[in-house]
Amino acid sequence: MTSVDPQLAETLEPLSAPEVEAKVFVAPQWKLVWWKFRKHKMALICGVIIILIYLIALFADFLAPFDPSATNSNFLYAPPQALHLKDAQGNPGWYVYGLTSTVDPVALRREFVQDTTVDIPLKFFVKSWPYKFLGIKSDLHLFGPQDPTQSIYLLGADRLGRDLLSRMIMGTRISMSIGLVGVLLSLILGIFLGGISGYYGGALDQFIQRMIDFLRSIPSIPLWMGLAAAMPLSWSPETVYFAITIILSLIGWTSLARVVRGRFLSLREEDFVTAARLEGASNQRIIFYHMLPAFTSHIIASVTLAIPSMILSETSLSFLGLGLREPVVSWGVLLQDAQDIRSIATAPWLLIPALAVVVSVLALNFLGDGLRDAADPYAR
Amino acid sequence: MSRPFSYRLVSLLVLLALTLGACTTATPTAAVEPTSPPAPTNTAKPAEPTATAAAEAAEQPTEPPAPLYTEAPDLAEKVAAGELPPVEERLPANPLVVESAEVGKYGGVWRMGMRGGTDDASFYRILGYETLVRWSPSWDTIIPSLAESWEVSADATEYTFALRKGVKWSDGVEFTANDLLFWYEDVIMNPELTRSVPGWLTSGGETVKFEKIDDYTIKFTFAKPNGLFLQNLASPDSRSVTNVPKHFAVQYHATYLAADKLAAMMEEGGYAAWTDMFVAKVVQADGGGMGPYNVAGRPTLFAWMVEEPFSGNATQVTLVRNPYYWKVDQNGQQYPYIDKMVFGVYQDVPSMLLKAANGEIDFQMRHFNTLANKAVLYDNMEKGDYRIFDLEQAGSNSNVVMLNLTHKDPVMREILQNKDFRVGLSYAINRQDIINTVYVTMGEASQPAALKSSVFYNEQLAKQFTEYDVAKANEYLDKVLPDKNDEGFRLRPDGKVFTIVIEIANANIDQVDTGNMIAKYWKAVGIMAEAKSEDRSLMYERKNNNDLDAMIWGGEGGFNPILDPRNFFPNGNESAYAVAWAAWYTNPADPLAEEPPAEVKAMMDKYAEVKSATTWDEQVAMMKELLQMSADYFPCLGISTAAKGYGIAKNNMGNVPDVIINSWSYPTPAPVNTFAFFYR
Amino acid sequence: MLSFIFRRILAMIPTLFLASIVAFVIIQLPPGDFATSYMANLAAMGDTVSQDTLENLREAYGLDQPVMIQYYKWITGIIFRGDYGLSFEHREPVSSLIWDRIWLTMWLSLVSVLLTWIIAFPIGIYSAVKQYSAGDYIFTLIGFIGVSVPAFLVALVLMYLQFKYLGQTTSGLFSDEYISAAWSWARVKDLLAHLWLPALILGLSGTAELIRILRANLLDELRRPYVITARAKGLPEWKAILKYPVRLALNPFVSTLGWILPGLISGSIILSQVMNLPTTGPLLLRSLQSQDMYLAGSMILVLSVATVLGTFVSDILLALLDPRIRYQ
Repeated sequence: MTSVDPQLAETLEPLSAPEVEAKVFVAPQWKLVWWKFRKHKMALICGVIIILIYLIALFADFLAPFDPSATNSNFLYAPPQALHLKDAQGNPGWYVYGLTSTVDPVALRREFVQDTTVDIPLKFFVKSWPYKFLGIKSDLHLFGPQDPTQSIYLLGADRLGRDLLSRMIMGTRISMSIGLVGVLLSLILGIFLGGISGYYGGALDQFIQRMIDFLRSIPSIPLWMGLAAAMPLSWSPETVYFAITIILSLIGWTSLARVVRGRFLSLREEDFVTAARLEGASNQRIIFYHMLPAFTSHIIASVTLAIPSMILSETSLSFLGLGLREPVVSWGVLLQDAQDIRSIATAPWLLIPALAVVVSVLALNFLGDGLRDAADPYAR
Repeated sequence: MSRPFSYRLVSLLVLLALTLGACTTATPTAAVEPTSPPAPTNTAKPAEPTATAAAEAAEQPTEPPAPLYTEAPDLAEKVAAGELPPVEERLPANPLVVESAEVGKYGGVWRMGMRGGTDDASFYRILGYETLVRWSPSWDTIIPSLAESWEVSADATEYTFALRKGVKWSDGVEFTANDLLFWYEDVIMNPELTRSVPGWLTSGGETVKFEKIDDYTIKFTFAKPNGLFLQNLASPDSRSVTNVPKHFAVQYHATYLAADKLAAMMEEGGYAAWTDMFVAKVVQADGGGMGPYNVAGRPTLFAWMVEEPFSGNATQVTLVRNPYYWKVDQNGQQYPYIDKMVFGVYQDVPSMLLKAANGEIDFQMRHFNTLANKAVLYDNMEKGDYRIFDLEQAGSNSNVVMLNLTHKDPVMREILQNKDFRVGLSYAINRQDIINTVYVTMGEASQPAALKSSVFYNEQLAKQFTEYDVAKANEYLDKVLPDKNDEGFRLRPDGKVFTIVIEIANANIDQVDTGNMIAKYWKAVGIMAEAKSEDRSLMYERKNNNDLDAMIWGGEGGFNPILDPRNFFPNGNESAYAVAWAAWYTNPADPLAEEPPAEVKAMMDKYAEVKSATTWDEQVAMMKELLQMSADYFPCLGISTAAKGYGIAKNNMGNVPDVIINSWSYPTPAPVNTFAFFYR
Repeated sequence: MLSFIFRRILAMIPTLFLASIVAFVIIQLPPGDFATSYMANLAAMGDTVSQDTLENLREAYGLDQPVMIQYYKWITGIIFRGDYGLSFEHREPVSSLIWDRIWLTMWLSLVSVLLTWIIAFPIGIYSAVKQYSAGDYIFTLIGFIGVSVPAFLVALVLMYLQFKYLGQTTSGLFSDEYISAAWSWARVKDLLAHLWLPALILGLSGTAELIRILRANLLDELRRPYVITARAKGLPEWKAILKYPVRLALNPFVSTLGWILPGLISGSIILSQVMNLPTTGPLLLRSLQSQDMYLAGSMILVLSVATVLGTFVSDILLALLDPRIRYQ
């Protein structure tokens, strides 16, 4: 085993051909990175997935077949319906069977019977619930039942008969945006403050470390409870959530900062850092060009680990009355709805939003790994 | 005034005879036959005096029960071993005979679940309801308990009670008027323990006077007529009265302790004040708190006594049979039938729910019995070997939407005080859709009102403005806020968008869902409404400071609005629709207090008349007038009658009725005689 | 090194002092006080309390005094008398409430940390050495499921499955017969039998995180020239990996090692609540919700001390692990 990283070797191999070599010498850095990244199949696929997720977030109103906050008393906890491709007469198309329900007054729930004699046809580009996109009013949707008054539940319904699929699509917006801002903010603060703390050491280090100690000992729950009361009622739910995210990240940076500092403390004694210093490199250059790249994997790992906790933070926030309010939904809110025995026992499909979280976090992680490999300074 | 009447229910047999003769429902039986539910409401007549007057006439010598009393085998063993006196000596001369639907047999452990913290209600509702007088199982009359009989003066100022002779605390010491005197002098009148005397013990602003006439006779004297006193005594308000064993309590009371001894005890327990210690070990003046359940073997009048006490760290609390319990069944068997109680202390509902579904809880109707969980419990009935019984909700509504009529913002206040505005908002709500969606079709569209089955029912109060009619809604709202902005939202007179935030406790998921639907319906008629769910404490803090626009809470007083009129006129700080007026009503010196308008004051005056009326019929008549005034004023909105609740009981548990009324004032299930529950 | 330790200890005092003030102020942040929450609690039960009673309660507990006076009373009680005050809700001294639970929490944390390490270390090293192998992908997948699904949801699902298919319910840390028993060998065994599932669930996301972090740092290290040199010089592969890279890869882990205990105490609140564990979490949550000031404040103070001590310990370990680290 001569190479640590098989991907690295593979990436270097085609570059050994003379004509490519010539190209490589003149290529700007971003191109080199891109060439290497392309080789990384998994990362590429994950990149596409991430782009798709953001497209879903952007066009959520158009993609969601139903109004995510529309309740329907006939379909409380309706189970997911399967698609089939031929109706009773054998006409091709896409259909779901009709669903009828009756109330069981003793069990206090609706019982569902699938009516296989009724086919509800679906089609692309239907007009149903109205929405506003970039200031334009529209009621066009990618797909839905041909008769917009009918209800179909491809992923089932929640306790109020709301369509889980539509809610998940709409939830992509919040989950993949606001939370990530918080992660980014903690990342910047963590690297910057941890970096200077570890690099300069001494009194500055002491000060920053005690500040971290102090911030870590602030109990988060009463802080949130206090904030829940302090947030003006006139703020929209998104604004409140955004503000909370910012506050969370103001505490969240401490963990990364500790790690960055720990690495800096050991790295600053390394020969290459001494060499760079003797060369007369500026501190800034030493930190960002020499020291940071030595542990990019760690940074990517900790960022990807921070994302799910940010996405899921609403689950605990709404517990304290700080969560998002209707009609705004997020994956965390959907999971919050699923976390009781009733849902797990009688409506396990409500756990599907967890899959969305897993997929997007995995995709972000592999994308990050791929980018790291592509930008690896040792491969140059 | 009314004719004088007296209560002289010397023995229960007399009362039984009365039941047979007068055909009222005033039977002190353990439970109405399981097959016929205790028709909760046909005639909700607390303290029906005429029926009891008839009792006097019916008084005649009747055969006493078989003189020989029997006891549980474990107690019989102790008697044989000389550890306990025989059962005849332990029971009072005239034990309370409670006829049970099914004569039970001794044995078994009753397992339940409770939440940590302030959940003393879990104990109180199961075993702590041992008062001077109590509600009949069907909640329509007041029956003797520790008091054998009573007399009320014609002007309802003097109440004289004859105590049951020979009742003993669970350690064998006799319960007498001295215990009650201690409760009055050293608990209620001790300014350190009781800084303000509970409202039900006052009348005309003065605290009731208490006299011990002899060891078995006591007398309460009010300065002004207090027609509700017996009802209060039968309700949880009074739970401290018979809960203070003097011989035990003096060990923790500063008046009776040497200073150095007291200091040592406080030091050892870590208490800053002796009152903390007294409350922790004995009782709290208002009756709440864990005092009665905090000390192993504490003398008690309950059917079971504490074995493993409650503490902040307890993971279970156990209680065992009280050998001196003073009630017997029709065959002379001493109650209770069940040997032992085990309360598991749970941090949260899910694990309790799974225990219940798995058959590890024997009888319970608290905590896990939410409407949503019914499906889970229903599916596992066979597996867990339990049945589901119904709880007839005594509340006035599932959701009372209280718009803040005393809003701090004068513009808001003027709009919200306008009845047309509230009428418009009421018409805008599609109640049937909410009932179908949130309550799976259970319940009937209604404003907060006395229930149809009660004598207080007022059709107008219950049904006015409950139909869903957007046109009418807009018509009424246009009278108040005709101007709208581009998006169709109504504008206040000052040009700002009228915005209302409905605050809801996030623990009540059904109310949160309802609130969101209401906001949707209001938006449809141009009212910018937003539902906000938050922690209960936060909501209460905001309510107490009069910071709310609107809030949702469950309705009370559906069976007996006299006992809890909060939804009908602002009588206390639970009337969240008019906190400032309620403050004025309870204490005009309160900084929040504000004098209400004449029509609200008229209701307050009417309630004073209800309280001073001496007969039940008069009280009902006055209260009905008040409810009519309330219907005309229309203080708050409602959605529907409360969907019926449920509880679970093991299949082999006997004497559990199929339907039980659920209310705090009638501390369910205690009045159906939990001491008579047994395993077949 | 000794002088470093000494200076660090000195520096901890003002931090703790500040933390105690902040803890006390922050628990007062939510509007209202114990009296309000007491009232709200009773109201949920159907009971009512008059405004008078609330005022009396406030006076009795000194809630009407300025925060700083309340703080002074509380902190001096702790420092001079070891008296943490009285829990309003339980009417018990705080110290009698928390120490039992802290002890159990430590147990749970310890078992959970051990489980985490036993699982995470081999997997983390394997994943880094065999990066992009099938095994690495599988562990990555499992790992991210571990961090992406809230632990209490996993707990709820497992509890339900256990009930549904085994007809068992677990709640708490002891079987019924041992709940009130005195400590004995049998009781310890019973505890361990109940401990592993919560410990595993508690450690689930921690394990996943540790695998990812270890893998990432090892990857960073394995790319370094000294590893290649070591290999070129014919050092056995296991030695080339374990001797320095793994040791250095532990750096970030050690940096935050000290926070594991406080993290588990406050991070597992909802999990403990769901699984009905008598640990500090639910007590803390409950005390915060009911604004049981001295109880909440004392528990947070204990957590702060644990955090600050933890940082201190991890600083020392950091230096021991990597002698190049100097603290000036």
